[in-house]
Amino acid sequence: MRLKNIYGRIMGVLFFSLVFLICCFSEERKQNFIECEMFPIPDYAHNGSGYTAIEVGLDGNIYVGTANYGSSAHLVRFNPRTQKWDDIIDAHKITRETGTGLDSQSKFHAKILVDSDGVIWAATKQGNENFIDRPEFGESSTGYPGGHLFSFNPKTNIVIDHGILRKQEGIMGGSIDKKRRKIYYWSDPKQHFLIYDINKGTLRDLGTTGGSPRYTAIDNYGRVFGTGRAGIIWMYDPLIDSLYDLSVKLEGPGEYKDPYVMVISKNNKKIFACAIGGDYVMEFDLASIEFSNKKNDTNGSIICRHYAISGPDGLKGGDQHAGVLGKDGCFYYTNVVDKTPYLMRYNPDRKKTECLGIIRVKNHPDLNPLYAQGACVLSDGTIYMKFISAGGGKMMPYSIVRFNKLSAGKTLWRQ
Amino acid sequence: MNKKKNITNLFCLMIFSFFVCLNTFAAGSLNFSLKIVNIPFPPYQRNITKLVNTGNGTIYGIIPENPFSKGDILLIDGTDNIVRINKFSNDTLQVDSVIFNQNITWTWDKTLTKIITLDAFGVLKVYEKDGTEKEIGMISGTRPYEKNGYQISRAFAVDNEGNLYTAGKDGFLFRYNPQTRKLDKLNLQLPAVKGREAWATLDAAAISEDGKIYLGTFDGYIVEFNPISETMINLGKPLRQQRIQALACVDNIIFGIGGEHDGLPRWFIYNPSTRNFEIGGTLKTQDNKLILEPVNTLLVTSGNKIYGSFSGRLGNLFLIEITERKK
Repeated sequence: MRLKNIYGRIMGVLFFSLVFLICCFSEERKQNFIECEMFPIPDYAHNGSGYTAIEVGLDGNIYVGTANYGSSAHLVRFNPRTQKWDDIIDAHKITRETGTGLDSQSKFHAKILVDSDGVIWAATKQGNENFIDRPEFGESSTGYPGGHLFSFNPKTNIVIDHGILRKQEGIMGGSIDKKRRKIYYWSDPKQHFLIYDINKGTLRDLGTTGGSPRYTAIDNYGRVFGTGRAGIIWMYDPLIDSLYDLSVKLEGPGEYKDPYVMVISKNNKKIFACAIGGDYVMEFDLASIEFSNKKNDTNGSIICRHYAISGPDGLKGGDQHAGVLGKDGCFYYTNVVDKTPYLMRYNPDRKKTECLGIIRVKNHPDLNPLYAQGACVLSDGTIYMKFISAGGGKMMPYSIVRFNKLSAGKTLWRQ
Repeated sequence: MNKKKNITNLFCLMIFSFFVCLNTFAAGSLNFSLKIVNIPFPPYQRNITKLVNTGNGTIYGIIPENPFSKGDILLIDGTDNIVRINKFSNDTLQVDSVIFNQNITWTWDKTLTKIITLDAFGVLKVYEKDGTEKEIGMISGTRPYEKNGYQISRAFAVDNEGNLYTAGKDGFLFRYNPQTRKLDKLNLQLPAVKGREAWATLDAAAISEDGKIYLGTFDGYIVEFNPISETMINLGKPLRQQRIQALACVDNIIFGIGGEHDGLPRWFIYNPSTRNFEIGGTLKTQDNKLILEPVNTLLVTSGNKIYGSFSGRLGNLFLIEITERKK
């Protein structure tokens, strides 16, 4: 009788445990969403799109560059405290340019850069790129004049147009070396590596890189990295003042894909990256750079490791356009798989990825955010991302979204 | 009477037009296509700034490093093997401060024992095998409204006698005979867009089988120069853009690439027998990618292959094949 009771109790516990686990699993499936707050970018500043140009200033405001195809791009500022927007730069107004269509200053595409004195740097490029059918860049006295470099000082509210960096080419990429006071961009379409000296106001052109990296990464030695020709990462070393091509040696499963998003790790020893359609999160090991073991067409090599699949639930591929290094040292990026936008987190200590959920807009369950283009992180770990106007069902307005203190403190792992 | 004269004029015009059309159709429009083959070879060569032909089947490529007094040399031998070397062959004069300096225009004389240069100050010099250098004379002049700086010619042309030609102040041609060391200013002026005569410089040259020299100017004109009669015919501007980047003569047709340094290279062909230009357009690699870098030299080998070198950080060697399309 006593044994029967014990057996009954065990069975009962097992049953309820099973029910509990099923419930938990169902709950997990149901609640696999991550909410963000949405702040639409004012309509006057864009026509629905924008790219990597988003960064937080030292004043705590979010600076966003827009795309306004065929017209004038804007640099706008979002104050998270008042939740109000200001128009900082109207590219055509300040440059006195009147180009339309392909000839307009239609995009602030390059990453917004923040200097140690709080000055904001932004650069424009052409929109509606059509380099094959209309390849007269660099030659025509009319046409697109070339991307301008601007600085904005939030303390004085003064905008300075530092001029066109390269005749009839747009400006993309963007990294800042605050110690040397240099800004690094590349020109589109000729992919020339450009160095702007903030102190001297001079520009140097180191020639073509062979690649079009939307994100570039800079380490604490001031070395700048970007995607070069296929299978190659270029590196600019300010100590030697040279641009190098490093062939990528892949370690781990899968095939190497040229990265789209690149961020430097917290300890400056790695670059975390993801690619459009890439199956894995990439870790470039900066300690592995060597110049002795090089392929014929490069200066050296760098090791890239695949540790974790980039998609949710082991799904491979997907559209990975935006990413940022969180304050917790993890790499946060979006991955759109089957038109569903997931927010992903890569933990470099555990070498694992985690899906934080399908991105949903708070109080707007009818909206379907789709493609993020650019991200930035605040000192408290809050992450802002920029979503273009797209999506199935009701169209999401071109907005920045906020994940409050998402990357603050220690990471809690579900796996 | 006037009416009769008008009818006669009209008749003459019709006859003239008929023969013009007949001539055009008889000659046929040129119809060439281009195949550009990227040459991969170890070690990867970047930024070849000049290819030079020694005339004995050897081609040297110059790859300067900063600060322009040192660099690498590549060698293409008669069997198209390409290797990196440190020195020209012993019988060929090498002056590192000249050959690796991109601001100096230079060439050898036909014995390869003298190097003739045009420097940024517009001064012609000759470097001898015994290590001496001698100033021949100043040929360039200051541009209008500018106190300093010269736009010097980027090429020397050479005739069948070994005389060298380049352009100096206001585009006037100068002839230098390395044997007699005589420098002559010819009464021939390179064409330029009106008002830009001071910028008329010689940027490229190629000699045809009949000894005529084809010159390319900074403003993008092509000129036929007869060194024997010392006459010049302006053939016009094949491209809207400035600059003739390089010229080569293959099978007695003139193949050229032009366009501005920051722009795109475009190719053209001039056929001296029909006096026609064919404009080829932009250059594309075999995988249909636009070539963005300018060309600095085109050289024709004895096997009628054209080697081209493209400037820029990732510029490398190309083999250019011109094929006549079947009509």
